[in-house]
Amino acid sequence: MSMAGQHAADPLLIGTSDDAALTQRVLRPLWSPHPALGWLMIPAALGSLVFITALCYTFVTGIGVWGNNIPVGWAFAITNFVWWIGIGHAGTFISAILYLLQQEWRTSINRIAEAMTLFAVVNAGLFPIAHLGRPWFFYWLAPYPATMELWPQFRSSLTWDVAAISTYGTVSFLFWYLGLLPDLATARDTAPTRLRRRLYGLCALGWRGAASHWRSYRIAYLLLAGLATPLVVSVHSIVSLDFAVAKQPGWHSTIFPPYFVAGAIFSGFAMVLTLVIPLRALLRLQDVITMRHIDNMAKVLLATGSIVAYSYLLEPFTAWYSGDPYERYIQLVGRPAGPFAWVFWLTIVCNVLVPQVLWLRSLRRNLVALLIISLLVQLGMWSERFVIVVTSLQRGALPSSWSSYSPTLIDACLLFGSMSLFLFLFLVFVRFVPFIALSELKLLRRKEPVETQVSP
Amino acid sequence: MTSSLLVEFASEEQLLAAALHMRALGYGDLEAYSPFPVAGLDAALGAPRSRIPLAVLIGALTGLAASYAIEWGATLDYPLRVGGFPLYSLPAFIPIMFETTILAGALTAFCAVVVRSGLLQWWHPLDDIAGFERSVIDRFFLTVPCDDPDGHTGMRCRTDLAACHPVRVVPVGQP
Amino acid sequence: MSAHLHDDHRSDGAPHRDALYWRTLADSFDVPSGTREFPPAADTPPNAWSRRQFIGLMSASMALAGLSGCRLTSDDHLVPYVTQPVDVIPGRPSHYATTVTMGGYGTGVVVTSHEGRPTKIDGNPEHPASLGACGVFEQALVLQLYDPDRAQAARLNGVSCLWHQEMQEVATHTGTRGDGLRVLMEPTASPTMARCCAEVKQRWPGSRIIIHDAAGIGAHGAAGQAWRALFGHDLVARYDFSRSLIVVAMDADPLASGPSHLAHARGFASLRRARSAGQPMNRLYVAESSPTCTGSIADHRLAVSDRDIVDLLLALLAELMAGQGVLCPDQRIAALVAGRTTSAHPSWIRAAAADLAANRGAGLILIGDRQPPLAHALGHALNAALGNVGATIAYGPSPLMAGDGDLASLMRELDRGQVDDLLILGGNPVLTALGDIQLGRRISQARNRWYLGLYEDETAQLCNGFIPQAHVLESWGDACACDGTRSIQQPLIDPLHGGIAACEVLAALVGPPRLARDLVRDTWRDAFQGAGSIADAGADAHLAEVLRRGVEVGRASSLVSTAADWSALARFEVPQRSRDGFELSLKLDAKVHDGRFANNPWLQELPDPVTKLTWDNAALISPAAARRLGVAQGALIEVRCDTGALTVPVIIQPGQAEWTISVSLGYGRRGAERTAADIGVDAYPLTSISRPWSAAVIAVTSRPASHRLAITQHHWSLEGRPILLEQTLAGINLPADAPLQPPPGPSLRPAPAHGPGPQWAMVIDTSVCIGCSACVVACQAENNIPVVGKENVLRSREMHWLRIDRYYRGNEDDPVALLQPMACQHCEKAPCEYVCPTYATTHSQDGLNEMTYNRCVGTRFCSNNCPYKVRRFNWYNFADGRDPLPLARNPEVTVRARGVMEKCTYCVQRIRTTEHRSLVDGVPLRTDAVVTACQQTCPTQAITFGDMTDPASAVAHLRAHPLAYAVLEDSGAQPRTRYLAHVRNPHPELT
Repeated sequence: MSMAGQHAADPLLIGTSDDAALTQRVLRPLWSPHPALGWLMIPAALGSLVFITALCYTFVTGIGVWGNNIPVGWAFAITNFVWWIGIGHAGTFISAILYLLQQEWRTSINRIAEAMTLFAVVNAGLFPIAHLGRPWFFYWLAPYPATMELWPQFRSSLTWDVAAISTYGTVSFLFWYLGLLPDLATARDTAPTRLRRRLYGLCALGWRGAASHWRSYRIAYLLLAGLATPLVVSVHSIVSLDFAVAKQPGWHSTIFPPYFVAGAIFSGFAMVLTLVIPLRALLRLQDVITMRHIDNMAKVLLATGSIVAYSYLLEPFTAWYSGDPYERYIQLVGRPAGPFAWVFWLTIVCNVLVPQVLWLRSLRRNLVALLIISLLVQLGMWSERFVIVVTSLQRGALPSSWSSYSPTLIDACLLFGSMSLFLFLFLVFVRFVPFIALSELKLLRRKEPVETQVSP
Repeated sequence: MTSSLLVEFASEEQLLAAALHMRALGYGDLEAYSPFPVAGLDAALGAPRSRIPLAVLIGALTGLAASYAIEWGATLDYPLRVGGFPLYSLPAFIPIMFETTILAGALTAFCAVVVRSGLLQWWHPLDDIAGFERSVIDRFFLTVPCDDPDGHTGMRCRTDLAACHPVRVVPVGQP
Repeated sequence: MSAHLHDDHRSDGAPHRDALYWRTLADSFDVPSGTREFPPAADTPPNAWSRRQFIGLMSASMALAGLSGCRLTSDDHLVPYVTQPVDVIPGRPSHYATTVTMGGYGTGVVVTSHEGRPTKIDGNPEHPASLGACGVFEQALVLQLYDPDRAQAARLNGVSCLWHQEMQEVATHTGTRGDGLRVLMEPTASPTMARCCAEVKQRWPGSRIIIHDAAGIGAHGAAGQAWRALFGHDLVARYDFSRSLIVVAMDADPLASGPSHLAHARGFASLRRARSAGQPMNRLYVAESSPTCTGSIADHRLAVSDRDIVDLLLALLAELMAGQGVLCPDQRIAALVAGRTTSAHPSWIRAAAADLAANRGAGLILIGDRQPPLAHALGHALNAALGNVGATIAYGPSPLMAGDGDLASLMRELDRGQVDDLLILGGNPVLTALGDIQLGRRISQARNRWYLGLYEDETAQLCNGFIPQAHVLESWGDACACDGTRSIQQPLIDPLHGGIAACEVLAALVGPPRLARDLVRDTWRDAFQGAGSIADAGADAHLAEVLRRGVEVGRASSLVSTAADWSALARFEVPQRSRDGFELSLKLDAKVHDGRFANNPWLQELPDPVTKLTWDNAALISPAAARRLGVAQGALIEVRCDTGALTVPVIIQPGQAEWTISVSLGYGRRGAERTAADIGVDAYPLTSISRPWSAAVIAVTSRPASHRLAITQHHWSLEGRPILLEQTLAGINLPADAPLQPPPGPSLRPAPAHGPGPQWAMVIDTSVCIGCSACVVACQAENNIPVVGKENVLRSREMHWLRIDRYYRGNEDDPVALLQPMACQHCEKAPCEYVCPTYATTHSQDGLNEMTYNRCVGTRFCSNNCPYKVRRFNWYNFADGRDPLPLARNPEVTVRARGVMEKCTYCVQRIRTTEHRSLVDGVPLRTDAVVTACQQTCPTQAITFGDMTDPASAVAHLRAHPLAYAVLEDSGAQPRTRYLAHVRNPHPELT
């Protein structure tokens, strides 16, 4: 990635020359929120309610209310899980990897991306629990000294999953929260009411910008970035092992780990774009989130999209080259021509063809087009996971057990409900939390040339 | 009786210069406050090398060892036959060992910040000084301990500071 | 003898609609006040009974039944369950031999009873019609016993009544001759019933006994007509498949239907296990319109319309006479043949004729019950000409009771108003009567209509008097097998709903009410004395011995010699040459039979052996017909026939005759049975007296709508995968042959070490699997497998641990069917185990892949990773069942809760029980001592189970055989279940 070489093209910060003004500028949505976000909160809250209702209904009745069956033991829930956890990758990728690579342009968007990661992980974490036959025993997957002295079975990739997801959630939270401390302190000290001062003060943990604070902070932040970097790569790799360690044709593949990681970053950046483009317009953040940010993210989308396309090419090739008849059938017949072939082709269109238009600079800077592309990419990535999960299972080794799958209303409620919950959490975040890394921006202001004009 | 002075600066360069100046004059235990990390400040304040990386390393290795112990120990504790695998299935243990390494390291790092920075201290004498809140917005502060046994009560300190162009100097910690 | 003899204390008192036997005893009957009726645990009426509660209540109420003032009592002394009876050990089931009947014929079974609660039915090895095996119907009777929809009270004109008083009332007003009295009953081969009927006839000489059977088997069908015409009397043909090297089945399914199918299948399989080229092996030719189990295993199957069978027989005769020099038994036959020398299937005819001629006296030509009398006569002619009669076929006297007429004669009498009292003893004739008899409309012409039935079914709804019938497991009785062997039916449990046996109803008509037990005992005493003995004591000892063994062993009736009177041929209608156009072929269903099992959830959910359809019936059409009609699977078509029209969903069935549309009977039930309601369509109205099993189709029109068919298998091709291996007899060349399958590639994981003790393994011989699905029901009964209902089957959530996979090879219009029972393979490197995060599925020391239900959280990863997809998941609380259905459960097997995975355990409860017994008794474990449920019931003994490390065991021997292979050996899972390649014996000129 050579975005660093393009400093001249676009500024990363526009127009503000004063720390106090910048502070006021960035924290303004906290003290005088945009009404549009409030209105958006209503459908998001209703959707979340649908999600919770559907979840409770599933818990009470049993997952027979979903469309899953034998052979398609996993379907929407695992698709949603993999999709959300993939989306959650952009946050830590931006925070950690771009931080280590000293990509200055990460600064304005990293907090949004990290928050997005957290909420995506919350959603992702709910689905594996909800998909259990007996979800109230979910803790049996964790090692604890039970009276029967029975422990989890550590050869199962599902126990790896538990470790990976919980680690990822925890580390992402710590990373996010550590970075948030100085800004929470700023919010505390600029809050208009006593209650808010108290609340933000409580969350700021007594941060007051001392040099000793900053010293520990910077070392710890660097170390967390260093720790989170392999974590980003490992989490989706381990998620991919849920499939790759299985013998199921269509799953049993060594290319899954890198393929999944690329797809995760792909969908994650698409989600960041999906969130940032409207937010930027609504809150008039063009001076903080500039076209440079947008352009860079579009390039990441193009790069990861191309890796994903390459994986798509490699998958059937590996199957064909292996000579394994079951794998060949899935890759060469089952997916392109079997049940849900349309989802497979939708995936190809959304993930392979659509991102390639981003070679055009004009499209990378066309916000409407980018928004549509990023939405299509997310649709494509969901479809990809659906294809991997469902089309493999429905065409197993014994043709006698071939069957198909049809989702139920509850499946749909959970998918769209989880999106609502995600949006709801994000809106709450934008409403109450400094969503742009203010202290980093102040530092950036001193490093970057600042233009006074807002580019279109 | 300890007392100190809180010195306010308009820019990080002034703060840095003041810190260097005061240290050169022999003042110790200086502390600075700034809305963002100021490069070179740690050296100017004479801060020792941080031991957080070591703590994180120890934490991470503890996580690694703990998960290995749990995985191998749990397998021995209840040795069940599974899929024809040998009881000691090291490759299968690796993913969790990796994850717990990261998890323990990250938790150590965060806790180290809290402990080493003395966070969780929701009130500080400085908070009572009007205008100090700008330390997290746009102003830079330096506290200079002026424990003066001669009874000059910080006069020399104030004189020394005058050369650093402070916005203002406020005494802290008066009884 | 045993506790079940205490059944006399029947609740004949005032009936109660909800008279669940024990619980509401106090509500229904006069319990002496001050008597504590139930133990303390029973104070609150439980809604869902646990097994423990049930046993407690059961034991208490068995004791108290004697106090509760029933009218009919015997002088037997009841022993209260205060001290434990000597012959009941809690936790150890008892086994009782008894008899169940289908179409009148008896099949000897052994019923497993847990603390007085029958839970499982297996075959009686000593009974000639069972030989230890059991079919799906016999096994499903145990669920029928506990059916919550069973009728529970006698009623007259909508008011509850005392049935025996009403019977005496009928007897009083019938008059001395009884001209208006008609008894309509199912076929019976019960000596006691025959005696009771004779008593009725004796008392009322004007009465008539009419026998009706939808199945039309034997004496009451076309075959009976043929025998009566040819030989002048009823007889039953007994086929010896174990000596038949060439079997030609014409529209017949001898291996999976009919009263002797279990014995047929056993005999057939004995000549079907060739494992080296030199061994004798039979060859099976089948001509049929719609695939059957027999057709599935045929070496040469011909898909022909039902109406073409006679032509085919004539062509076969012609070929035998002209090509093989076989002498025609009679000139009149030769004349018939002369007109029909050409056939559409010359090579099949030639091969069959050559084989039959080369194996004179070792061939067998079978004609299906649906064929007209002429076909049966021609079949006899063929068998006689080839010398098979007397060798592979023996004729014996028909054990079925002869009646005074059929339904058609009753119809005429009803029309003339000659019937005052119609007493219908079971059989639901309103449903099963031929369409143009219109019994439902005509039955109301009888003044008084009494019906003895298990359910408030279609017939009950049209009868003003109703008596609940005792289930076959609830009442005394007796029956004969086809060969005349007599056996006794003894009750396993008190009638749950105060049911009455048919013989009791007849007895109550002619005198004071008598218990079925006494009626049976008297019959057998008389027979014994008639046989030359005098002492009662001797008779009782004999009866006790028969009761213990369940069968009067070695007492088959003697054979009858037959000389055919071929002039009778003139009386048979010679069918016209085949017409073009569709023919509607009606058949008894493989699961609900004539409709009597429509309310049985096990059978409704059992995949049809051929179509794998559940919870429905459908029109089977050939792929060619589907193309011609332009319809897809599930599309609704309207079949308009000369007798009526039917709108029915379509199943495109490979191997279906091109011009035949097959629909099975027994669906579209309109009775009060809740399970059976709204399932399928009723095809009975299309039947007619002249053509009971078919109708000429006038038009087939496709409807725009479609119907969702719950089919459990959707894909029928092997896709070239190493799943089911085949070999021809000529192709086996032992021992030089290499194994059929190359061994799997090298593995990084060494083969797991075997623990000490036995290593259980299974071998399934696909050569003899006929797909009858008896094993599926056995597994369901043994392992408390829940029924999930049509909606869940549509979602591929059926729970059967054992399924029978069916594949087709070759041309879709005339394919070769391949069958493979598929259950958990108990892989040594089980892919399911290593993906389970909670150790819920692990491996035992003796090689079982075990499920620990309590530990399962339901991730379903194990199922996803199972190459065989044999794991089953409890998507809901499927185990919830309407009372008293849960009483049918086997207490040895955990009932699984919602959210838990389950699968075949190799019947681990049987293994452990056997192991414990051998430990307790101090005798070494015999490797063949453990018998799995599927193995036990398999009519063809296709399943072998045992310790593979014991070189003497059959399993070890078969596993080492070059024909043995593992399904998906290339997956490296090393399954413990292995299969023997399907060996076929095709005619060299037809391959």
